[in-house]
Amino acid sequence: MNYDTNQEITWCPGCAGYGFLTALKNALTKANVEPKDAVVVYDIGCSANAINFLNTSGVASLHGRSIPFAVGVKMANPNLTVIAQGGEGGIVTEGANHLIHAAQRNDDITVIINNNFVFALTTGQASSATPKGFKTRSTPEGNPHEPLSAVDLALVSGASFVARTFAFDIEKTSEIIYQAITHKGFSLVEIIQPCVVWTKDLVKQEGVWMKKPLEIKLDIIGKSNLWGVLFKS
Amino acid sequence: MKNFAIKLSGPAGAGMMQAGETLSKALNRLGFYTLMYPEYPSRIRGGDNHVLVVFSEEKHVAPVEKIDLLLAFGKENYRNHKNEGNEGFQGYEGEELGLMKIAKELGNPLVANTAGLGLIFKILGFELKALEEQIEEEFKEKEAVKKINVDAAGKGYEISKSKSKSKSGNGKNILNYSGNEALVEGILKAKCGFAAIYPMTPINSILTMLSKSRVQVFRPEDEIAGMMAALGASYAGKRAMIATSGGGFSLMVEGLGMAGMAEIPIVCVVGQRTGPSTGMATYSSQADLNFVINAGQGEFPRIVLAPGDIGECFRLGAEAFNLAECYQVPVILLTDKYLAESRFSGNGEELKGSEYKNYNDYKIYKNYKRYQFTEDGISPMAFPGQAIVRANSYEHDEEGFSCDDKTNREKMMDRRMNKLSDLNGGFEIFGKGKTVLVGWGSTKEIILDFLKDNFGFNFLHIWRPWPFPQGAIDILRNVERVIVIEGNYSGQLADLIERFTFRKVERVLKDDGRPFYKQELEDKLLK
Repeated sequence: MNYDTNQEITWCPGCAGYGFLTALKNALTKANVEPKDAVVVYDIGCSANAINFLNTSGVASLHGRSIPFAVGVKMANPNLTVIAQGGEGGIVTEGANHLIHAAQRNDDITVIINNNFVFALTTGQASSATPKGFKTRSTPEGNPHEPLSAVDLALVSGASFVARTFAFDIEKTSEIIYQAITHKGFSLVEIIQPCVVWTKDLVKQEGVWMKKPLEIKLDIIGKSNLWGVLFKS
Repeated sequence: MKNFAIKLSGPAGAGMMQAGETLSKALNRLGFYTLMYPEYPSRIRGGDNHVLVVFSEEKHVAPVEKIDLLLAFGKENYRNHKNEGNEGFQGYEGEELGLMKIAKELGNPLVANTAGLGLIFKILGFELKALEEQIEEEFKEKEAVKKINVDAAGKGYEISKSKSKSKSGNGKNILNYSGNEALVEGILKAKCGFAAIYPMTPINSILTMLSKSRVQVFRPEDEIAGMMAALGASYAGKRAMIATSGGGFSLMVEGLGMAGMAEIPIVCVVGQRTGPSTGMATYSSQADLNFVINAGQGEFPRIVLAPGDIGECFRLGAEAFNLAECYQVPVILLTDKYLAESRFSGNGEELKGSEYKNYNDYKIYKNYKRYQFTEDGISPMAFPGQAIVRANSYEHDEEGFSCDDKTNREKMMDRRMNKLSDLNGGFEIFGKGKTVLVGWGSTKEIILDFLKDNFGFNFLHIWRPWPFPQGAIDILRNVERVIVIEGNYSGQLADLIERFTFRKVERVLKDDGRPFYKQELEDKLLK
């Protein structure tokens, strides 16, 4: 299957987006999804520019609104493989209401969140997932708030598949996205992908990779150092 | 016979709406045309819900301010309305007459309203049969409920000592629909496949009715999600709609713009109520015309339809989906609380004549281009699963890739903005005269009732305010006097007419949340 387009890739050299894109192609290939049968609904932002880079059916939607659009697509045609993409700005900040409700309904879509911890494309302002104390263009004295976590929000709202991975670990990310898109019900994959310009040294891949999902949600909530498929029901 | 007006009034929860519906349908059975107009505050129990039922031997019935008969269920409700009487007014209070006692004795206090209807039939001099038949029809699946209501009507009938006898009307097989009901008939006729609806007055009954239909219904977390999910369903191949009021539509505007840019067909039912903001949530308005015509950043084509009666609710309800699919644009169906929730009657022609038209028969899926340049500007439509389909809220090239190129932008704008150039029609003319009355939407029946008694007027009813009909412009440029009648503060249609005809028009406006009353319109137009 060929998921390449003839469009110029506009991401910065060294951008984690390349890892995300490769992993997504790998997962679709493994799941044997034809390009016409995969619908990726993109948010707005750097990673969302993949509308031009991935040759499947796709929609460049609105900031924060990729999830509800994807929900409508899946309801209308359940045979499609439907992915809602967004940064933490779109999924956790502007569109958090949609995240928790899609998880509550266990809508049969996969949400991929490309978390670089800031609004990168608009030149690096704090989002709702920016770590406390981090200095950005909108928080020169340091971010005063504890960050919101997509993983935590999805878990408490009823998501049946929740995972966290690292964009540069293409092998693990490919496998996790594959599991998510073949999972029946709502799945969330948080891809941690530091921005080479704004958050390069902010996040290190430290912590524990899960060998199998945890059974108790409280063991996951509030822990940003757990990686892999964290929860599955 | 002149139109006869009855008002039923009682606390919320006492069944005034149901009684009004039963009464008007029983009067239809007697051959009369009816209007049932409900008014209620935003509360579930208590207060003063009241229903106006006007009946007539002729079609087109406007609401009236002065009533001929009042039946109130409660002393306070009686006080609220006792001064609204015409000459020869009769007013009754149900407790005093023993209606509540009848209901209690029958074992269900809720049937006092039906006992009241029996009483009204006796006072009016009609035989009980039509009312009994209507009750039997309404409760045909609930034997016990049916019996207690028929008994209540009979006992109520016996209370009055009235000896009057009245003739029935001449109408045959008169049908009775609310605006929302007729609209849903149209929606189903057009094979709508997906509806995203967040509850809001006055479109709640659309959600209720569609939930029982074959249409896939989604009650979203908010109106933003509703609009986006409907766009998603449309992109994936289903005819899709949303229904809301102005407040909800405010949240949907970003999605509306995306529908315009990405050329995703969508039907938006916007039931107007009194704004701005929360306004008077259960009262009517025609003040969102400017809003729906102009909503959204940038420029994109859209169609605004404004049905004026149940026939148009049905016809335009279906046609909206055909137009959205044909031109790949958002179509806004602008109704209002008065039209949506009032009940109107007709002779059966109203719900005929609309058809489902399919415009999506494209079958060439290889190297498919969603935004292909074509002669008429309309690109062939395919759906994901058939081909790789790229829809895009950014400016895009033929294949749907995001694209900032100057030449491409100019060509794409030209293509989109000229899609509607072959649209025609949009209005209807009634009567003859040198003075042209112009209305849009729900004033249609009210102005037609005015024309029954007042000659020398021409009436131009605009059912498609946008794109503003060229034929109407041609007419309005060349007549002596133009009076625009609309339910808003500033005269929004009047402004549009002045913009397109370069002439001044007179304005008859009303912005108190109520429809134009018959006498009021006469006072304003005949002064």
